[in-house]
Amino acid sequence: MSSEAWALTLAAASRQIAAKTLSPVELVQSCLERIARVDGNLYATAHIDAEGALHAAKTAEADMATGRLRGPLHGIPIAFKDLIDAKGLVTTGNSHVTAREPATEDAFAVARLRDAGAIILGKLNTDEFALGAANGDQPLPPVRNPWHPDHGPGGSSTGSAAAVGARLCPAALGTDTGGSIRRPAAWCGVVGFKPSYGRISRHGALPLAPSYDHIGTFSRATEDAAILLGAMAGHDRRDPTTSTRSVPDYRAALGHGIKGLNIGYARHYEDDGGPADPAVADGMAEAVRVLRDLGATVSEIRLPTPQAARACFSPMMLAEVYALHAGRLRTRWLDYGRNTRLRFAVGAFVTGADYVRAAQGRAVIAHAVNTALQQYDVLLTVTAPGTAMRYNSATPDDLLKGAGLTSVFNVSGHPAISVPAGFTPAGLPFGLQLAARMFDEETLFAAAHAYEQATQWAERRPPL
Amino acid sequence: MTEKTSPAIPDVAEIRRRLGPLPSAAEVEGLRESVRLLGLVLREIPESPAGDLDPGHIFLVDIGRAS
Repeated sequence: MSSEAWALTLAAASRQIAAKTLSPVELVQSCLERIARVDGNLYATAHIDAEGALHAAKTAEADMATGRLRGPLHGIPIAFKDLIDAKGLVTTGNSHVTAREPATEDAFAVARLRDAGAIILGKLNTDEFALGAANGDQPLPPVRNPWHPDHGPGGSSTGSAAAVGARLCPAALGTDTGGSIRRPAAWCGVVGFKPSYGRISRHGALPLAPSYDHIGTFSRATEDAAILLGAMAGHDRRDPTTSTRSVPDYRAALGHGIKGLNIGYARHYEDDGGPADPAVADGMAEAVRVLRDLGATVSEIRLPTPQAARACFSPMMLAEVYALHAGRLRTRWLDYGRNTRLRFAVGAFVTGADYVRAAQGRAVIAHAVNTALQQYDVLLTVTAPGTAMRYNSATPDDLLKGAGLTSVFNVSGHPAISVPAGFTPAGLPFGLQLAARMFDEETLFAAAHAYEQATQWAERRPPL
Repeated sequence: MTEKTSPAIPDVAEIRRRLGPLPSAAEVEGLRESVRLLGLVLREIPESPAGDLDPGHIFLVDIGRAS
């Protein structure tokens, strides 16, 4: 079994480690061999710390020999979008602009995972600073989609989505400012989760737009996301937006099922930018049938439009990005990738009045989503109405034309998850998006897990 | 009452003033088009059904903890 240990979900590997039928060293070695075999044509990784990971795996194994098992993450290798600090490793943001010095401490989320027994496998490719879609002029090559090399994985957590989709590691962390976890997760056939705003500290991650930024997870099962959130959630004084609420047992909620759950289905999201891919629309109709068969009530509703979400999100995000990069854009313009600098620079022309008006609109959208969630336990939308874009095809202005379907829950702050929901005839995956009340990740996970168990889309392997 | 605005499409001199001399002429033209697109996007900002929100209202919405 250990030769294909790389194929295990986080939870499955965890169970085998606890049962001592799989060792942390075997698991890490299996992932390293998989990376060596597959990533040469995928470019999902930025820097793999093989030596450090193996050393940590041996320590985890020695701990087990003395009866010390730290929990479900003991001995589990996890990799990180290269915006998130891990002590001793360089955080590049996939940019020529950043300093090349190792981080002196872990990001809060990384420290929590390390304390829980996880093994730091290394860093993963990303769009530059999580916004500059790759076009070949950034330090790392553009990532390819594990399901089809002619397509990209979706951004901005390109490497995290592709790595988990390609089974290079059982789980990864990414960042999600407008959908940068959920969209690539859908397009790489994996589970992508962003928590409630304030549930996971962003301390130690390079910011993009702080009022929208979230840290979240990539995995192949909802159960894995629940395990990871349980380890990372909590207050951090260094990120004052984090909540002091207690952290429930998210994994326990998975068994709640969805019988009697009220689900509001925003089918109109499928028509954003034109009619949805027919296979995606059919997949959503089938997903609704599955959810009803599981005992949920699914009713069609209208949420704030993707255009409205985009209208609030874009100016605020661009202004916040520009504020962080204004000085360097003037002096190091050519050190940024072309897509990056042309996107960031638009923020220079957002006025204070634009920002305030967008913030007011944001409050209207948050209120509308909260109102919908007074009537419904969970909201359902497609994650993206199409499938992964062609490899290396992004332009600077794409940013102003997309991202509304996922950004609505960055605008509102609600927890959301993308779960694999099918494949097109061309073999490209797509996903559905679920969202729940603020800090009600338990209901979110219960719904996602129930759907996942009934469909098994997440079990398909890419042809690598 | 917050007045509806949208960013004015900047001329070349304004772009140079904000960003310095490094953007190429083609990039400057591209930026003008991007700002025009942003203006179109901003038209869709929703308003409160109860009327325009006081700007101070946005500081009362703590999406992280109040909901």
